Amino acid sequence: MVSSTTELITYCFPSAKLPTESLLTIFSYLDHKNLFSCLLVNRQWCRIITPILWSHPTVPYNDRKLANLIEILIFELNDDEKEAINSFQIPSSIHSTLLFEYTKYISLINGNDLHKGIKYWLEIRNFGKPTLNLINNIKWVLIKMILRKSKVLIHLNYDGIDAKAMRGFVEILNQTTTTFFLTSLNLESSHLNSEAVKPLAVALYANNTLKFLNLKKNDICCKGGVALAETIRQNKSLTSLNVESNQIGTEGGEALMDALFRSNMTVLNLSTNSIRFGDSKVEPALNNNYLTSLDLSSNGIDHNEGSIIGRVLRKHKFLTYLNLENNHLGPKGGKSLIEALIFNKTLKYLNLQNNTISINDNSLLENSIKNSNLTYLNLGINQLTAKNGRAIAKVLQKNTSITSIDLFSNQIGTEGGKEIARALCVNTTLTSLDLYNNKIGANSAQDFGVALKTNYTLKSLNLSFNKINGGNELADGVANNSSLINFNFSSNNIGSEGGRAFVNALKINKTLMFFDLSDNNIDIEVKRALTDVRNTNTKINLIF
Amino acid sequence: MDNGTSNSASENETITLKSCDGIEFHIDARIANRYTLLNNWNGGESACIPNVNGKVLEKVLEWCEHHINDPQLNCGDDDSRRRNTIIEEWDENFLSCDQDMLFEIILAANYLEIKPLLDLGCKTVANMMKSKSPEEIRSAFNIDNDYTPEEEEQFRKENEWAEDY
Repeated sequence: MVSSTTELITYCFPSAKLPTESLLTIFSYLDHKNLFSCLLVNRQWCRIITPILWSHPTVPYNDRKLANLIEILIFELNDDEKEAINSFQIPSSIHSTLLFEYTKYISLINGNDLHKGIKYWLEIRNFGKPTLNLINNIKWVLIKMILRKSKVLIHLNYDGIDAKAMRGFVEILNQTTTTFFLTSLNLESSHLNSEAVKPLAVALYANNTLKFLNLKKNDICCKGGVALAETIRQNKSLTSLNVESNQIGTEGGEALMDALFRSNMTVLNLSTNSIRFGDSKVEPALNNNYLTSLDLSSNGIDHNEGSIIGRVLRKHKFLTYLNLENNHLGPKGGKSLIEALIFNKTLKYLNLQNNTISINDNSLLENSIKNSNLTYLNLGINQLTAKNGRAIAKVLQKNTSITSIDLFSNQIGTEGGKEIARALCVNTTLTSLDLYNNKIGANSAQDFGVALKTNYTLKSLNLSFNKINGGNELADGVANNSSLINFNFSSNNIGSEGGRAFVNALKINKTLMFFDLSDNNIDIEVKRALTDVRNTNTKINLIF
Repeated sequence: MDNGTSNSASENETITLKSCDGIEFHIDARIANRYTLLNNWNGGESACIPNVNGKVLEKVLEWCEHHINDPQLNCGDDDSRRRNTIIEEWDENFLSCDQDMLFEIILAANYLEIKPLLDLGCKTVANMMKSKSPEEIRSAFNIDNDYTPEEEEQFRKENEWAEDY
């Protein structure tokens, strides 16, 4: 029954001879259950749709359907694989041949789906509560079969891979006879230690298909980092590596950074690895590569290393994403990075959250943001002052490339807040602003009310925890605003009067979808009125 | 012919296209600039667009005219395209023609490489299939069922995981 699709296309619809691409486009708009109906229309449709339907065989949140899937996969095992299943005392079913070899169309497989499906499948077949080991064993047999049969398998999500399967997988990688199609491999949260990851690292030297490797949340340590550094050097296809939370440490981190030199890597995530670069190592490593995305968050990077990164950043031509959240950059490191924005023209995303940054030079801050090409800047949880807030407001008075700015948990205060609110009246580029916990105070309520009335581009605003009070002013803003989708005004002590004002405003506002008014000393009567609003407007997620 | 391919076509410039059954259309040159293939047949005295008749070409050009100021999208972002199966009201009315015409428009859009119209047509056909049983789809598109009952049952079973739940 299996045959190539092209020859059949022309008489697929009696009324038109549509070309293959158009048919594939039509079916690409349909989800699994609609494809299922189409599959049963007739034989021709079945031949076209089966490869599409089986390319992503996943059924989220439905263990019973996953068990159906497992049943079919079990039928496709060869004798050796069936034997393996039998050895777990699971009699593999005897069945007439399937109408298709479905497995060969699978392009993405989720180990977690298989896991749930196998568990349910065993349960309904009265094998009682299966052990984790049994499920893992069956899962590996199935994945091995898919690796053997599918010529289009490009995404394998095998988070939580066990040691036995890992050995088996590396063995397959090492077989010269294996043809491999995977471009993306996810082995997140699998308790892999350096001994488990080393054979994988070596097996990948000669691989030329894999582009994305995710080893997040394992335990590969320094030795694993060093082993993977060698993989980066030897492998020609890998472009993205995630080793977040692996206790790689300084030596492993430096090895990985060193290996970037002339490699093809564009994305590297080294977050949460206790990496401290020496004074000099990081500069040549960053200077000589094509990296576009680097995550060094939560590593204890200090002001000296920060200064060096800032210096490299000035002339870096590829980096678009840099995350330095939760480090110890301090005023000196922060200044160097912010200064770099004047010269750098490629960076789009910069996260400097929680780095004890304070900035004295406000014209520098203003110039940097103004001249940067950033679209996202996070300066949350630092030591920014009212003057800094004013400088940022000054930039925002003119449109910039920035669409999203996070300034939460600083000391912007009333003066800074007022200026930023005024800037919002004229700015038409910002879509997201977070000013949570900045001691903005009641005197700025009027300004933010006017800002909401006037601004027509902001989609997300967080003013929570600022003692703004000012329910009337802000409610007036909300009533007259038609762009805001997400508004957090919790913990601002607006009281019942303010609450009532919002009740009325929400009857007029048509755009808000998430609105947080919780912790605002609103009495039970007003809360009832808010409940009514929530019941009439089902579109809004209203918290109070 | 060279004039037609220039990007600086002004609003008043028109070009002439002829359908395969010889009907002439004078259209805004900016349309031909958006969809390069249309330029191939511009102004040729005897050149006709093969495979597209006047009735269909008229519809296709009507669509192009309405969408002349749409932003030019980068194709290729398949995922975002797939997520969006919403069709604008004007387009929906435009394509609520009979099924033969709908397929003719898809074929013409494919032939003339007018990608947004092609996608729109495919989306419309896909929407016609949504939430229907196999039998309803068969009757909607006038398709014969060539499965044996046993075969159909086996297929249903083998693909049960994808069935509506």
